[in-house]
Amino acid sequence: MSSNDENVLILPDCCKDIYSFENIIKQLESVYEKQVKILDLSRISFVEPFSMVSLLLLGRNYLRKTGEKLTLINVPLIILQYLARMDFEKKGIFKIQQTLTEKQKLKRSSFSQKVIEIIDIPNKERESVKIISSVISLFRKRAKHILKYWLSDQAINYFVTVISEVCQNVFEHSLDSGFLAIQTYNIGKEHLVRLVIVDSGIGIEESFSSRKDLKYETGAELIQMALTTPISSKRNFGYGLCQVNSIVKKLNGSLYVRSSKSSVAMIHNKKNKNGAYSFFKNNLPEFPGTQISISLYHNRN
Amino acid sequence: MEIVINKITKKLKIQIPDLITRPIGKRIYKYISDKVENINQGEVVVIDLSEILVIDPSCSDEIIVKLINESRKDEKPFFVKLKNLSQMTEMNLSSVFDSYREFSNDRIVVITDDITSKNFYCIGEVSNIEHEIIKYLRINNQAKLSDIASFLNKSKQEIEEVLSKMYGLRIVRIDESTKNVYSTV
Repeated sequence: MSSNDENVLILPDCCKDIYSFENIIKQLESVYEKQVKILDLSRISFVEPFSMVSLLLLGRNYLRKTGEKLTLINVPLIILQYLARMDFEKKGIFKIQQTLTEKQKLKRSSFSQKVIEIIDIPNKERESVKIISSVISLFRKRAKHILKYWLSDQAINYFVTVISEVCQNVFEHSLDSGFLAIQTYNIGKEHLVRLVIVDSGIGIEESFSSRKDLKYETGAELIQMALTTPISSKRNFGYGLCQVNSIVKKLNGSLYVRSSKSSVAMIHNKKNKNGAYSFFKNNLPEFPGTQISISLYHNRN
Repeated sequence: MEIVINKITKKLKIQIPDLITRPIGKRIYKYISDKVENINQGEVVVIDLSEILVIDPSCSDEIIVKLINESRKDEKPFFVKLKNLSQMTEMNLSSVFDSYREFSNDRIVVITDDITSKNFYCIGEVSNIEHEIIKYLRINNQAKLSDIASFLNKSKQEIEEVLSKMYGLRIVRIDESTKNVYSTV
């Protein structure tokens, strides 16, 4: 996928959904081996929220490892507009050569309140609690736009619980900071709302390393355990991820958790006779930390 | 003793309608436990959750579960009742109690002032007999062991065992002088 210039990596058009971003993660090893300094986004036609914040993590990991920022070039206008709207550039993690004129920038009006722009989740408890409270406050203000197709008091309160519990895991367990973003958009025949909370910390398996009593064979098995039983790395019980999964099930949505080299997808909106479809993957290319995506779907017809 | 959570949050400058995260729960619990330190044995502590829309599971663990566990200590037994719960709070508490029961081999139950979405006056797992006793005492306020046994058509011995467990869970009160009269929380 590299162009003639070995310092440039042309990214494949793999930011359309949470699973295809894996193709970008696969190329990370070559980014470091070949000392890539520039990412060419000319082939990217669409960026969904999970891919967007995962790209941010990728850039941050690179910055931490090399001390330099990756440069993004040939970003299609529509993608650049979206990234700017979501405060991607403001994080200061990438160098982006292109700039938008005032006319080109997407306006932040009440009609565009179907998003919560990328927010930093700190790894310090006190700051993080403040941020989480403000995120929830902002979510409540925008909930009627964000959850337009799923709107009820119950759905809003469910989301508040989910946001709180997943964000807490960032400062409590990951030992790193993270990002959050929410967006409602249309894809194909569906309206979709996606909440993503990501970090590049120690990952789920490492955080549970002191729990010698837990029996599991793979990282995906441990993730599934965390989603279905109230285990905790720090105390006798932990309710967070278990309750999150339970809520996503009630909302008939899907939940995707990727951590280090494993991932689990619980697709409650598509069921078979045994319950939700679940997919488990191990031995994925290493991508530090834990990335969580929660999605709700609504048929447009 | 009545503890109104939204007054505590005002004092502690905690934004509501949501109580979220363990650190927030710890702060609120510290305030409550200082108040509860001076209560009398056997007193009922009513936690008023009006204006609170969501207490997340972590916060519930730090406030409600801790308070209930404190109430169950033999040194100074007291009782906890919840009132003005939102549906989400009830749901989160219920899942916390279910998890607790599943993994600690110990039940945790709390009496509620209002009827819950499951048509009970409590949150947490209770048996059918326990449920009937709670309803009976709610209507009659207090009753003798013999009356309760008669109402349920069971032996006094069987009901006494059930009531002893319920007392241990702090979902029924017992008259300390007679040890024979039970009352609602």
